[in-house]
Amino acid sequence: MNKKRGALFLSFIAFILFSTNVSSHNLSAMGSESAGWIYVGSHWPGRTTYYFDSTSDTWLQRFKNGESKFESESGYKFNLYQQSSTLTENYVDDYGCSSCSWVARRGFYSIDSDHPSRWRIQFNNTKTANSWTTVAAHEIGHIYGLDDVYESYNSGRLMFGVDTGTRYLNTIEKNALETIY
Amino acid sequence: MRKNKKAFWGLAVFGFGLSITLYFAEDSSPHGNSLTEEQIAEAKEAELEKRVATGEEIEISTDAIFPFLTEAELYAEADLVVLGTVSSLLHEYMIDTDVPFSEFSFTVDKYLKSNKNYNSSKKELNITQDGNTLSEFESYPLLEIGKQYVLFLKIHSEEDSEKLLIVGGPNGRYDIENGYMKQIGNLHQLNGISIDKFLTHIERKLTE
Repeated sequence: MNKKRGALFLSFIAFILFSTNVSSHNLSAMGSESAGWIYVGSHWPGRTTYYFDSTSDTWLQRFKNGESKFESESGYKFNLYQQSSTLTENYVDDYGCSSCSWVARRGFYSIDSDHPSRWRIQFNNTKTANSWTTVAAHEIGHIYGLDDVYESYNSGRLMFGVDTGTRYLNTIEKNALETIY
Repeated sequence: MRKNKKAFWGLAVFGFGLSITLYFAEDSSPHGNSLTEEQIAEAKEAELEKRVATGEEIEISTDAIFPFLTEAELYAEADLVVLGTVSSLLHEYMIDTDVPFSEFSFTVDKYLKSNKNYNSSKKELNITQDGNTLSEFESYPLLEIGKQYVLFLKIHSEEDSEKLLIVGGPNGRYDIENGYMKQIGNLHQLNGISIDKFLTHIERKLTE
């Protein structure tokens, strides 16, 4: 009976460890402008990620709108959860930079300089946007490994690097995420 | 033996429950004032920024999304429109730990739009761009020394200083490659036209 319980427990642990489809290593260069997607060079090692907010309700809501958009358009294969700052080091904040030209930015940080150990998404609160929801979803796309695309024939994709307004995670980008993960 | 087992598992569950309760309990100072989640988050953010500032942690990649300006908006927002060449990198720096900038010296060949302070008498301009060699936006690369550009610039006054900024990042920057224009994202559908045609286009737009 004890042997059976032990085996069951070990099987459970193995299931947890191997079922999360985690890629803990950065991948080599993938994708291209002509393919409609580019791998950004690193990605969060898991489809689920957590964050705390260090921003106002307005900016948090804008981020959450983008979060909902990305989650639903990805078929809920990727999920973000807000947590207490005592539980995670990833965060969302806003920053006032009138001399900056960017509307929002994403950073990956690491101690060993190769794999990201945490991320940050930051909104520039001195700017206006055509669609903050799309901006937020776009930045989330970077967390999961998608780079900006800039050719005009990619201007309709979520990962087009300029805030032209509402855009959607399209089939090519969804397939790209599955390739990465 | 069964009673001992029951007692053991009962204690284990109690201990686990107690641990969870204590883990999620609010912090309290010796004076009995609890920190709010907002205060804790601010402190955490400051701690993380300090790690980057001290080099304990490094930024391994960064991306940004830039605004979109129509041509009309670009021309309206620009104080200066110049054709010229980047001559040197003057200075690169961070503000607030990790907001990167570079300042370039730019030799002006032609002013297409100017004002009383910036005109044909001023041949060298100092231009500020987002990003630097420590933290370069991958999709908005730094200006290259020796390369020719048409730049739409706005005068940005801050306290005691004045900067010339490229309007809307990629919106206000046109690279010249082998005599033809190239803009990141081809935002205004002018990629591939010759520099002469582009200058004529600008002059027409400025008179509209």
